[in-house]
Order: sequence, then structure tokens, then C-alpha cells
Amino acid sequence: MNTLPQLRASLVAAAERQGQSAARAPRARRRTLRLALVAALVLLALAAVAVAATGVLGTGAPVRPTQPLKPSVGLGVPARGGSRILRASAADPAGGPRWGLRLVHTTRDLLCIQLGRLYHGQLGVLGLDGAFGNDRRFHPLPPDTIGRQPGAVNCQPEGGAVSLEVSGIPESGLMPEEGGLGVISRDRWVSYGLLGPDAVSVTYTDRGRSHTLKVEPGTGAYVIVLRGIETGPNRHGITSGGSGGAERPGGPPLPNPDGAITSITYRLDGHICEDSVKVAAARPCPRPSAAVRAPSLTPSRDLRRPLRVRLRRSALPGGYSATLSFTAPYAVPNALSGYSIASPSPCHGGGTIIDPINRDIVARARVTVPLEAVFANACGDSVLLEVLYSAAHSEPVPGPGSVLVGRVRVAIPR
Amino acid sequence: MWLMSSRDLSRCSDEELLEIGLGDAEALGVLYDRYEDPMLAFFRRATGRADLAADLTAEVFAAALGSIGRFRPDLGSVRSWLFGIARHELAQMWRRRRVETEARRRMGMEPLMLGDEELRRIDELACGGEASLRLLAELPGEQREAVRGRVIDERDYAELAAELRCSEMVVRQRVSRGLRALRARMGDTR
Repeated sequence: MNTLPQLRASLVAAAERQGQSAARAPRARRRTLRLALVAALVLLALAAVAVAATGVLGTGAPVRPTQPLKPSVGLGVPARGGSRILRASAADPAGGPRWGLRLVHTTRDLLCIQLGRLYHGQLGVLGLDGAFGNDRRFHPLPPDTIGRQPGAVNCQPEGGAVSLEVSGIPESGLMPEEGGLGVISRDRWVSYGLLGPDAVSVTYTDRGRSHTLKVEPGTGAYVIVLRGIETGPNRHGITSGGSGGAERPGGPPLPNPDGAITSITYRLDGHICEDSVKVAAARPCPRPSAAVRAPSLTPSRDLRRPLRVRLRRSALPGGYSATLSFTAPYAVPNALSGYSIASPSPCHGGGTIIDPINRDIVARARVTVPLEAVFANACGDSVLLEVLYSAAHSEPVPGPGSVLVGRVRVAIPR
Repeated sequence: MWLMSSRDLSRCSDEELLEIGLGDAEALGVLYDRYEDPMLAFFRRATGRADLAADLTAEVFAAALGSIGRFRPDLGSVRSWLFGIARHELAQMWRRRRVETEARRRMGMEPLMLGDEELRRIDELACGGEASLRLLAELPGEQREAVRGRVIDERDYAELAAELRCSEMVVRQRVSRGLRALRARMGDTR
């Protein structure tokens, strides 16, 4: 007996539809495809010989953003004149174009660091491992693709420092599309980051040997590319650290204990010191004297704003969708602050669903947010919705660092 | 052409079920039967919520159906493949703070309707493991990591060996010793 018989039935029905559509493919088309495949293989072989012999790549169509970016929403759009290729670069273990980095300043005051392959001073990806039909061409990666390369892009408030360790990056440099599980023959483990002007070098291990790499003066940028270690079916699992778990509040990032980097050397007040994954480093850097805290916000008496919820019948689970509206007490001029809607669930083990309202907002403006499946998180006859505000870059979650703007309990209509 | 009754299908290996799954949809149903509860328990432990566990499980099977042709037996078992997709979905959920529905939408699968009974059963699937998790925390670090990776996170020995920077044999020994210690401690607590 199944726990979820509806899911089983739905899966089998979907498999039947898949099987039928595959069977409908006409034979003539298959023959055409076979001929096209043979032709493509010949062309690929010729292209591979050309690349190996001369190092010259053809240039193909640029990578397109998955969704157009908007100046006042999410990451924002690249600011005019705010993008540049950094000098830091690394060779690929299999040769070909080097790996490099680009800095992108956005209209929402974020500084993004973007990873890719370098060719003729441009950042891009290669037509390999399923990308661009394996055309083995170089495809430029415009700055407005910062929203589509999770793992190969990291955005922080300007002035922040970051150190990332990412596994599962395809040799092509093009990250798999969401939910896509393409055939990737050779993954890379990439460490990259922006450590700030005090950074001197990073030390990492590769196959048991230790190497030290000087970072780019001024920015502290570095990139290290190693062969991937995830060769199994979990190769798409992207693990990264540095911006989150390994970041030190109020100070530069610490090396991630699970990564390739073993220590980061800084010059602080004229003295060399290092942050190391070893507990007892020879010259440890001083810890920041005071952790940077999110600005303390005490809700004033008139801060609490009434929330309005309008329900609509919906075919989605939960039966109803809704629009929630409130008057914003604080302005959100960029990505460094924001509102979110929290829906705490006291049953099923607790937990809270957070929906960030990831856009600029004018103070005292009326904000309206659509909510899908508003009762999906309900435990009984009602669901609790809260609007939170935080003056920090991270999504506002209940607790210190955020303030409650309003709270409403919505009953399921009978 | 494959013509098999469901009784025959039950004797097929996971790989065989996957291979014939697009010609005989019931084969995928049998594969689902084998992994439904482990998958629900995995997600319930990871998220602490039965409704999210059901949603994520549905998304994993839909994603698997959409990429059957890309499964490569030389890279690992069907189990590893499915739990690899599961971990990917889990990471996506943590990053985006919501469960993806893209794979289900692509496959034309209906939204799940969950009742109290289904949620209670999913909760029960994971509840038996809570006492074990407390005991797991008391194991020595290396054994704890190995048991957690293999038993709770459902990962391959090869993958764990690479992550823990030791051989597969060493990981197997750590898992074996850790499980033996857990069994002994569970005996003590009874």
C-alpha cells in the first residue's frame, strides 16, 4: 500500500503520456536525425582538431538571460559602466580557454562576481557537454546573465568579501538549467572569491600537494580550478561556502573547512597573518573586535500596519490564492534591506515559509503581493501571515534583526 | 517489445524497471513503490515537515521521469541517481525557500492533495529515526559522518570516500562500526 497513491497514479499516467509521444516520432524524422548526428560528429571532430592545433575557437551566439532583469527587482540590472573583467585567472586541467572572473555592479547596489571561461578578453562559456549542441564554440556571457548561473555567480553588498568553493561546475562553464540533468562528462571544482584589499595569497591542496597563489592586488580576487571530485550521479550537486557558512561577521571570509583552500594570508596593519582551517595556525589573524550587527530596529508604536488579505478561489492545492496588501513604513531603496511575508506553521514539526518581497519600495507606498496556495501551510482552520522588515541584506526572518510590520490570521472559508 | 505483468515487474532490478519504464508505465509505478517511503522519510527528516516531504518527493519522481534517457548505469545505481536528484531538489528548496514545481508541470502531473492521514503517515515514516539520531550524535566524529552520509543522506560509498578524503574501504568500515555501536546503544536504551 502506498503512502501517496495519488502521486503514484499521477506518475504512471505521466509515464504513459511520455511513452506515447515517444512512439509517435516518425521514422523518417529519426533517419534525418541520424544523418544529422553523423554530420555533426564529423564537424565536431574537425573542430576539435582545429582547436587543439591552433587554439582558435569560433564564436557563437551569446548566452541569453533566463528572464530579463529589472532595475528595481531582485539583483537589479548591471549598472552602466559598472562591469569589468578581473586579472585573476586560472588554467583548466584539460587546457583550452582559461577561467576568469568579472565584477558586475548592479542598480540595486550589489556587487556580483561572475565566473566563466576567458577568450579574447571576454567572459563566456564553451559549447561542450551538451551546452549549445556541443558546437565547441565560445559563447560570450553578457553581464545581464548574472541571474541565470547559480554557483557561478555570487552577489553581495558592495564592500563585502566572499570566498566560495563550488563543485559540479561543468567544463563548459555553463551551469545546468534549473531541474536539468544533462550529461556532463567532466566537472570542475572551482574555488573563487573576492577577499578585499588586505588579502595577500591563498593556499590550497590539490591531490595531497599544497600550493600558494597570490591574489589580485586591490580586489583580492582569485580563482582556482581543479578536477571535480563528484564523478557519480550526484555531479550536479552544487556545494558552496564562504558567503554563508564560512563568512565571519565583521571580518573577511574564513576558508571553508570542506573546500580546497587551507589558508588565506592577509596583511593587516603592516603585519602578515593567516586564517587557516587548522585550529592552531602559526600566525592567526586577529578576530574582529565586534561583530557587525544588523541595525537595531525597535518598532515604534505606530509601526504596526494593518494587513489586508483578499482571497480568491484557486485550482492550486490549498484551494485559495490571495493578495496581501500593506502600507510600507520604511523605504527599500536597494537590495540591502527589504520586506518579507512569513507564514509560521506550528504543526508538522514547525518551520516557517518565507516569501521575500525582493524589490524597491517607496516609503508609505501601498504594497500588494500575490500569494499562491495561501492555506497550504495551514494546520487547522486558519493560517497566520506576518509582514517583516529588515535593514540587512539577508531575507527578513522572524527574530532579532527584523521587525514585525503587521500580522493577520486568515480563516479558511466554509 | 516488453510485455510483463506486474508480478514479473516486481522481480526486475531497478535498472531494468527504468529501462522499460517508457514502454511500460507500470514499471515506473513499481520503481515508485520501492522508493516512495525512503524518499518521503529522507525529505521529512531533512525539512521537518510532511507537506514539504510530499511535494519534494513528487518533484523528484517527475524530474526522474523527465530524464530517464540520461540515466547512466556506469555512473551509479538507480538509488544513487534518485537520491542525487533528491539532494538537488532539497538544495534548490533551501536556496529559493519554496519547492520547485517545474518538473511536475513539464510532465503534466496534477498538484498533490494531502489529507491529515497522508501527513500523519509521512510523519510516522521519519519518527522512528529520531531516537537513532540522538544516539548518532554520540558516535565518534568519523563514524558519525560516515553513518550520516550513507544511511541518512543515502549517498554512495565512492562519493563519501571522495568527500571524507579516504578510501571506500575505510568508509565501509566506519559505517559498519558506527552501525554496530548504534545497535549496541539502542539495546542499552531498551
